[in-house]
Amino acid sequence: MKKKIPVLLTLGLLMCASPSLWGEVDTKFIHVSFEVRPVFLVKSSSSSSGTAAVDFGWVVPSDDSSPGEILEVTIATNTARSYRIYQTAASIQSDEGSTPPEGLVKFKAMPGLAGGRSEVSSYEDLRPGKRLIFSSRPGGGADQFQIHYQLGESGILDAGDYYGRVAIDGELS
Amino acid sequence: MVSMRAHFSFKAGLGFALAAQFFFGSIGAAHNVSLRFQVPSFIQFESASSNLTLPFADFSPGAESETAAMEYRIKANNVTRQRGVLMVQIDSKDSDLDLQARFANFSNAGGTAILVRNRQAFVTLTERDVFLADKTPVSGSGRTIQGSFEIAYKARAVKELPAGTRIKTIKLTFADV
Repeated sequence: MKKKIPVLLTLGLLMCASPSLWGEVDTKFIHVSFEVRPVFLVKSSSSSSGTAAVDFGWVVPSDDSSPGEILEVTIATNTARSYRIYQTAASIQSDEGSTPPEGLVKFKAMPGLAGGRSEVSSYEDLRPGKRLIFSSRPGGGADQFQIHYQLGESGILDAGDYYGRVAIDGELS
Repeated sequence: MVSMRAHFSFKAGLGFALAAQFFFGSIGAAHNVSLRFQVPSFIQFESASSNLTLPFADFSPGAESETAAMEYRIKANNVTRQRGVLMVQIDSKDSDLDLQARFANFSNAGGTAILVRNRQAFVTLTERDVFLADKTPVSGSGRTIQGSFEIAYKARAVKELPAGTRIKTIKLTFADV
């Protein structure tokens, strides 16, 4: 009897320390729900530089033969809603405050690769303000199109570094 | 206790993923694009001809040659100078003969400044620059000049002139600063 008591105590302690030794199954359930939000992204970059800039470089308007730049616009969306793309232009000004004549910069939008429609299919003047330039195909969906910018005919311009800004934005219907 | 910690960390990870998607993608996203071009400073100065003949009918002191006009075209886009924008000089001056010039008839073709005669009368050319025309702003920045003008040339005998032909070179300079 003196020898049996320590053996039983040792076995009992081992069972308490390691529950798996009892041979049971422990199962936990985790409830996961996923929510994919509607995404509508408009991105644009120059086809020549890859940056969000339309840079004509050094030009002498009227002398140079209509220098042009192309902006690639990509619409990424997971909604089935049609949308419209707008261009909002701010006025162009040189570093010394000179303003070029209206109509110097012209633009047009090309049709989308996935069926979107251009709303400016021939060149028109880039004027300050908001202008509808592109409409998606019915049912929306991702698409890609180009905006072509061109310096048109003008009189002589003050020497200088001219800056402007356009915002490309989209609105779901 | 071990399984509770695992559950908590999983929920935190899922929450971050949704938040990232919310910020990167949204309805009605806009994208700004800068637009830029640079116009260099330039001067284009041309004349219809580079030769001029001034025939004399008389050789006595005070006699004047026929007057000949030459047309020039100018295009400049950074003219900040006001006085003496157009200057003239002769390569060598003879003691018995004065060559004279006068600016005339500027026709503006869309510039924001024009050229005006510096003085009414004919000026005698020397081996140093003499002012022929100044700039006068007419609109906007007043830094662009585009147009055409004439310069009338004539010669005047100071002493009796021997028969013969003389050839001189006139240097006409347009300066924008």
